[in-house]
Amino acid sequence: MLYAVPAGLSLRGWNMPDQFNVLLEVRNVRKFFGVRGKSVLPTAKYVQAVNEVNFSVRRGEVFSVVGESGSGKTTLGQMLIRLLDPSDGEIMFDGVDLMTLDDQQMRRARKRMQIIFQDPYSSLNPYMTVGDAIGEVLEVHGITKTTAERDQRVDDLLETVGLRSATSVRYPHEFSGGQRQRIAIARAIAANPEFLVADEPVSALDVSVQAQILNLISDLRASMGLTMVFISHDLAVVRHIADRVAVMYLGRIMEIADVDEFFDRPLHPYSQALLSAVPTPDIRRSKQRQVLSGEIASPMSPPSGCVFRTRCPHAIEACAGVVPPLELKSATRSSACIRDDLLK
Amino acid sequence: MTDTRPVLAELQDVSVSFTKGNVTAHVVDSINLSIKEGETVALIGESGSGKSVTSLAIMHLLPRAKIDGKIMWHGKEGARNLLALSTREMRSFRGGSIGMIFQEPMTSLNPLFKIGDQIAEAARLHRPVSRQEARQIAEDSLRLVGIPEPRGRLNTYPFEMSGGMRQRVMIAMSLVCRPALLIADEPTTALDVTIQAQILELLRRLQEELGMSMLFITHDFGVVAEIAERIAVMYAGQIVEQGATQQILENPVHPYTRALLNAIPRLDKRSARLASIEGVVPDPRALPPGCRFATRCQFAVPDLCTSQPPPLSELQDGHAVRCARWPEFARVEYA
Amino acid sequence: MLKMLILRIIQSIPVLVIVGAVVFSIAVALPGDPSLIILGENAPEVERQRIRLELGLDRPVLVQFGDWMFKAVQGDIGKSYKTGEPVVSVLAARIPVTLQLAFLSMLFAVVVGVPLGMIAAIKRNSWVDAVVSVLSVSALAMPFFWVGILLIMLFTLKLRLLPPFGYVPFSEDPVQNLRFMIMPVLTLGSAYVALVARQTRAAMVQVLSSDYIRTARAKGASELRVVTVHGFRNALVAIVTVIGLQFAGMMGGAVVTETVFQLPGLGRMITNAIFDRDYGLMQGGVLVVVLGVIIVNLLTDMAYWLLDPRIQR
Repeated sequence: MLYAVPAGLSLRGWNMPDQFNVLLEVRNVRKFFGVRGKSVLPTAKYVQAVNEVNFSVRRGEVFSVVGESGSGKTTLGQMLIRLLDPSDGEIMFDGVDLMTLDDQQMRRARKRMQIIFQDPYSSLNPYMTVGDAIGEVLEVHGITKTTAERDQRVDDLLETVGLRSATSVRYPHEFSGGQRQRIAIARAIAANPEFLVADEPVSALDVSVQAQILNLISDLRASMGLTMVFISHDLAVVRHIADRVAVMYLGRIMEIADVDEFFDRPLHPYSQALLSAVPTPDIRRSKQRQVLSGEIASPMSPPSGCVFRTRCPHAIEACAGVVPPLELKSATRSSACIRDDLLK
Repeated sequence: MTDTRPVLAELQDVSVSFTKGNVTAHVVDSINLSIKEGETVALIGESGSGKSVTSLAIMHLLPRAKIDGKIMWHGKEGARNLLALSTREMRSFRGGSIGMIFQEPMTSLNPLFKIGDQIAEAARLHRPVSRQEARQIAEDSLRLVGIPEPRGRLNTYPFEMSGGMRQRVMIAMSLVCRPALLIADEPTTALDVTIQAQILELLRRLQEELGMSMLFITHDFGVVAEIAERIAVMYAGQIVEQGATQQILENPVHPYTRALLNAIPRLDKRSARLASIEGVVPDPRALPPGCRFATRCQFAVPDLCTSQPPPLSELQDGHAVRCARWPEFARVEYA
Repeated sequence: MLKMLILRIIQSIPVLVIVGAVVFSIAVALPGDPSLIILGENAPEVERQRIRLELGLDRPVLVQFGDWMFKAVQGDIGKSYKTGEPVVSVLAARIPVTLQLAFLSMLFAVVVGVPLGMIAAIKRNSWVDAVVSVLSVSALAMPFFWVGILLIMLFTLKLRLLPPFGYVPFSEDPVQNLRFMIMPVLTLGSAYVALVARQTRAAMVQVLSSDYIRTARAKGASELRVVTVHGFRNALVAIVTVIGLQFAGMMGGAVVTETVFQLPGLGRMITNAIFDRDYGLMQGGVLVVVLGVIIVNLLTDMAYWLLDPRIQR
């Protein structure tokens, strides 16, 4: 056998996880949301936001989840730190299923995991000074004992993210978008977490500021040894920051691959179309592209079989019959497509 | 190869300011820009650059602003200054000779009216057509922008459509009177990348078919490379560099343009660090006396850059740059 | 539409039951004995006992409630303890008075308030806006009885134009009826003019700053068209909401207004019934008011449905 597979686990959807090196393992996770019908009687309609998702994140890596709106990437991100409970499946953090933890155990686990969001303004309490917002995290997790200690640590954190310590007495509305994202990051790293979920952290920012924040995230990752799940719709940003990439479409993972492989030779037809659609500031490259027709199907009634088949240029009849499993196509990548003939 | 197409619209020293109390914010400052017939010009800049305000000024859609300068329109009836028109005359331009689409397709359509009625309204406002004819125009318009089963779609409401479809409806509505100029204010920014590709392709096709000019407002150099023939880069209310798309993308001269291009993560190569531009855009209520980018520019030198504003100097073939030190930078090959 | 209506009617049944229970238990908990009211202070104990038996007041409270509800569903909500008249017929005489008062007041509030609010929104931050705002606040701040007295001083004592108080049914003498109604309607309506104007202004300001208004202008629509066609219809949902919500509050205002102008309406009837310990009448009156509020809510929902296609589909 070419690569070892942990006993008792199926080969599906795995990219050779080294058992001891894995921090986060997502197994068969689904999330269904009930939708209220418009008739008199409550009807059982469900949105399949996330469906049969499997992957693992190694310690110290940046694992990026990319997808368009409606792909389920944000829902998935919130489940990873249990802001949302999965309908089914397991989220193993450092070998423990988060769903089995009680409230107190979960609080302790939260200290090790944090999240930053796209809109830093709405995730900061407008009536709390920056210092108090960050200090609160320190107090909740019992990291600092005295006020002086707390204030000192807040100042250090602000400096770490590139803000002057004097900013601690000011309120969120006094800052620009980029500065607010720095504050949100300072708060997220206050408890010294091992694991960070970043949900579109730079999407709301201007290019020049985006670069500042991406650089900051890279620096912190190196200095703190962070493991990250980086959720984004922006493929160029992903290429810049990720080690591995998972592509989602309509709640399912289409492909998982190492970053360079993915961008140099995407396997899945959706990955190919997605990459081709990105406009690049390069006048020579921009003229040839493949434009996908149609739009993403409704998650309330996804197509049978492969969810991408309705827009796929390579779809054949068999694609409607079976949900293609996410399977290994080489040592480092897996893809959910039955058309292996395309790989040649 | 010289461009012999006649000029359609020309912004001459256009400035826009907003006054509140005794504080005045100079949001757009002496913009000079011309758009030729059938040409696509992109205004590119980050938030606060004044690009959207410039486009709204052309349409007189800034009720509280003071607009100076001239916006010359070279139509069939000869040249006219749009800024000197009466409200009534300007209304016939809006939606007539000039169409406009916006960034947010989700909120740009009236939620309470059927899309067929909204498109038909645009036709009836400018042409003496019956209800029935207007409906037919609406249907044809939906077909033009590639909406399947256009007749049935006339009776749907905006909330029943996706963002991409709504943007198509907006485009259909802006084109019912076959405008000579379409102003597109970040029309694909709110859309997914595969839908963005569809809309860009649609706009390109429509421009070719209808022979209209386009003023494209965006913050995205990738989109610009797709669609524009010429680019004007805006910073803090001024055009800092303009020229053919290829000139700007491959041989940018202004430090801001260069820094911006370096700050964009690239699909084709992975760099360890992105070049970022430190600092923030100056406050339009308190602009620096010299070059507006000087506070963030790594090449800024005292006096030369900080004492007086640099003029927009022409390098060659319409490539112009607003930088006091441009001769030094122009010689350096862009890596 | 029908589906929604049925659903809403089913939903209002528990509300009616709960309100019935609350009204009933308040009547039971109130001090004072109905038998004394019917027979007078010095009635012999035997007679009082007989009356209590007759009214069924000796039975357990729950049984009394069940019995009352059972009859109420059939349309029999008992008799007035004081006069022995069926409550239904008393109500039948009172309801039109209050209905007319409420309807005319709301009409006045809408006819004056909506245009004021629209003008204030269009001329936002101008002196017009300021004047409307000041007027609104003053109208809201004045208590009903005081406005009523001011009006009487002006129209009756000073100008000698209107009768100070009294009532004639519309069917008997429409002109005289309206003359009696003018001052009560002005009294009750003025506060609602202010509320409607403020709500209209807020809704219009928000609507006028939305993207689709910019789109309408970009299409070349005239300012008048932008405001009336695109703006007003969108603001209407919020305006209807305030009208619907304020209707319940209006019943409270009606009590005071009816008392000041001696109108024989529901409000005054309920107040008197409470003073008289006439539980039968009071229960009936409150039930009608609650029913009225429920119906208005239903109408509000139907208005939403008509106004907003997003609810229809």
